[in-house]
Amino acid sequence: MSSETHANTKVVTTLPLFELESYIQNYTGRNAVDRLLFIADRCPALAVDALVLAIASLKHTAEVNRYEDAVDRLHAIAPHDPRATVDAAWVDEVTKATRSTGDKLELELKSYKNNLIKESIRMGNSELGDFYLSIGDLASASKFYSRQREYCTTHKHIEDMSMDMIRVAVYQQNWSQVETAMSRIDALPAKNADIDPYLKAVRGLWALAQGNFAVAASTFLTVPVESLTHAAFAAPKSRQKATYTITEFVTVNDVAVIIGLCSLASYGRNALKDLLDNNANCKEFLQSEAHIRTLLDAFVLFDYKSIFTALENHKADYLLDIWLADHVEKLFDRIRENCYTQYVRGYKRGYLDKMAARFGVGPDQVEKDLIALIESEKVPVRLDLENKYFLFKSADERADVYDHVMTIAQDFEHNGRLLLVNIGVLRGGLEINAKPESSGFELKKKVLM
Amino acid sequence: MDPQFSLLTVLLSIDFEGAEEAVTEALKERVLPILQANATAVKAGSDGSFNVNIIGVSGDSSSSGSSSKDGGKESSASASRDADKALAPRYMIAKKDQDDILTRTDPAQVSVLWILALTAKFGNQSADASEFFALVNRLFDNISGTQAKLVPEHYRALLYIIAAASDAIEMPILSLRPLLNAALSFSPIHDILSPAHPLFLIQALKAKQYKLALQLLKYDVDKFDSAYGLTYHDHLRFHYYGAMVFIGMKQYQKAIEYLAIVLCAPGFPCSMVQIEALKKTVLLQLILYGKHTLKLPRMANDFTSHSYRAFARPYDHFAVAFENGDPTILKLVWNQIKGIFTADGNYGLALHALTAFRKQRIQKLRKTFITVTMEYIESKDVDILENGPSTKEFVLAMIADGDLRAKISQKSSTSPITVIFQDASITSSHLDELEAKLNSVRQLNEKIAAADREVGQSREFLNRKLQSASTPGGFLGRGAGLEDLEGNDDSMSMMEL
Repeated sequence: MSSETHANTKVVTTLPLFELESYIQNYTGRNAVDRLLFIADRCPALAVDALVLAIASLKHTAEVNRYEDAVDRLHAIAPHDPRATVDAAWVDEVTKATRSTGDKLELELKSYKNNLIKESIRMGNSELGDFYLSIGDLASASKFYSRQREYCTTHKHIEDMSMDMIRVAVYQQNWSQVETAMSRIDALPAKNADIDPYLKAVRGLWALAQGNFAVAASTFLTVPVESLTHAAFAAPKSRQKATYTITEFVTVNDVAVIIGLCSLASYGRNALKDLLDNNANCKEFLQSEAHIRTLLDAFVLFDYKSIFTALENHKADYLLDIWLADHVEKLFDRIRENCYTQYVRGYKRGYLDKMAARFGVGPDQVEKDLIALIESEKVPVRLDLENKYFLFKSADERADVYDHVMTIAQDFEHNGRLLLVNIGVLRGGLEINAKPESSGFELKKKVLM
Repeated sequence: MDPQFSLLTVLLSIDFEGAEEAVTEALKERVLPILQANATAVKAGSDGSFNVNIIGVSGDSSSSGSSSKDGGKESSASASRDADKALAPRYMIAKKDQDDILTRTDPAQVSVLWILALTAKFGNQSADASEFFALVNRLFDNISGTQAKLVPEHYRALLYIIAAASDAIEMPILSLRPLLNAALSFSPIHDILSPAHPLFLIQALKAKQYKLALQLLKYDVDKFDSAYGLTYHDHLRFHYYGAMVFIGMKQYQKAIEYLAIVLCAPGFPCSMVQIEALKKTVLLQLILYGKHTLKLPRMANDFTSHSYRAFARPYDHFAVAFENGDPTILKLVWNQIKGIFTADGNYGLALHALTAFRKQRIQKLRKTFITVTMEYIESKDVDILENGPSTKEFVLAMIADGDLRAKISQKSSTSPITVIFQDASITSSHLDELEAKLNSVRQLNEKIAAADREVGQSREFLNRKLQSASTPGGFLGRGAGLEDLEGNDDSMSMMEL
């Protein structure tokens, strides 16, 4: 994922709980660099460290552009840092090497095309895609991957091509392309079962990106933990040179956090309880992130205050996660709503001061939040601002049925009348007509004569 | 009935001098039986010398009061004038006989002669209003609707003369009695549209007699016949003006229903009346429901509804701003388009919409609160025009008008005022209402079933069915709910049945 996608940067001022170096060790390759650049973008306090680490990682790749970019950014914030200078020799060397590789591959592809060997052309395009991916040119990589399509002859080819495209599209956060590629794989009569967890995880990320938290949680819950923890399992050798692992994008800890926050935001208490008690996969995920387990337990135990404290404590961590960052505020709002709804449900009449104490906020805040929730029809209560309590809305079913019946009757009458009038109008020859003189007596005269 | 006068003599001596032969024949055929039927009720007098001469008049010169004064406000007036000209009577009772009829016969029994005589007498010259209205009232208090239908041109012309005469002396209220009687006498259960219907509503609106107008509007009209000299204008205007009466009476629900009839009128192209109806519908829906969702029933003509929507764009903008609920945006839009409302004559209704906006904002609070301080309401209350009553007065007025089920309370004279919202509960009156509603639905259902049967058995429908069977796909929907019902020229054949 390129850092340009986060143009509307939100600055994180508080330091996260994690320690940057050990945090980034969990990630490899492009994902690690992406995350470092992202953190450098968002968190000024960590920017220098993150950029230095990113530059070091980038030097192991062939992504000259991103390397230069990172160095420039480091130079901008720490001009005197000795690491903020471009290693010109390395750049030259890599540029030369990549250019020659690129030229060679393009030449090969041309000759394949001249010879009209389908399989070779496909391979050529695929290799060029891989090549552009390795130098960080995602747009070109995607272009060459997609060009394979007309040369695919077997299901396996289509699957490989789609997987390549999915990977690039996820890096680009181009979800419509992900959708296209996914549906192409879904249309295949049989697919490699090994890639299933990978696809599920991508689907989960996609749902998260769209802010569809319930789907994100349930999708990630179907991803087996082993696919994230055991490298052997997670890396099916789909092709000689390439492997697809979910850990390209997320680690098991990330998934645990996503599952935790998304389910807190969208599941009711019973559903969560069921999850915690009966879902083995979920349990395993939560083992890797103890604080999420605590959060969920607190929700089940109605301990709302500690939920909000814990969330606030970890907020910086979430804000620096490349996938969660843009949704943190929305997730927190939803979690708060969920907690309020949960709390309110137990009461016929509840007092706002008690509620405020339970949530660890001021009574005015509770009042404001509740009003907003009621107005958006999320909680079925009404407020008494004089005595500061809320009352559960007792559903007057008789009144509802009455209203409903009256509306239906009225609609029926309305439409029936219209129908009758229009029948009458048509039979009477009173349709709207561009020539008024052709109606009325003129017509009558015709009959008379 | 004047005993001096023998109707039988009249019958024998009716002389259709100079009238077109075909028309004369038709008139004889239709009028004479009526006179004959009533002759038995007439005592033969000693002196039976009484002649009725019917003379033909050329179409243009005879244009009686009907064409010159068309009280219609809508811009389709010129089109309707042309139509009226075509409908002007072509034959009249000779001058010397007019007074004889008016003084010596009973209008209840020979309404037909009265109509002919009155049109002839007052058609061209302005007469003494008091004499005219005395005669007209005498006729219409006793008129026989069946007879009136026999001379539709004269009948229609006379109605227009009445309207014009009352307009001429600027007393539209004078025309209300005869016109209402005319409309009510036209059919026994008042379900047929007569030429008097739209005229009466126009005059009632001019005279601001909304309550009186309701006497006609309490009957639903669903039968129409162009043979009575009606055009689509009459149908559209009747329902449009009906809606205006309901608006005047603040019966917005009913007004929307009438406007929907205008909007769904079959045919092509769209009429100006429909555009005006759409504008009013938008505002009314905002007042009633706080949102404008123009969901026309299936029978609305897609093509025309598209074209008339194009004419009411500013209203759409207003509706969007209204629904959006942001007072600043609404105010902005209001300032931009209030000139359009004024020009359209909808300014008053639009003002009502703004008040409704204010009301709805307060009404919405009842969903959130059981009790709320007046202070809080004040913080939410927005008076777009900034010249309305204060929040407190406004809330009080709403409670008094029944727009808000709430009570105001204050613990002591210095403590803040609170508003306590109260819940509705189902009472026996609700159940009665429900029962009444179900009954009316049942009746309507039967009516629809009857209409369906009738249509299914009509010659036209069967012809169409046969045609469509022989030429598949030759059946283009013209927006009618029952697609098989589209009559064009064939519709006349149905009337002959």
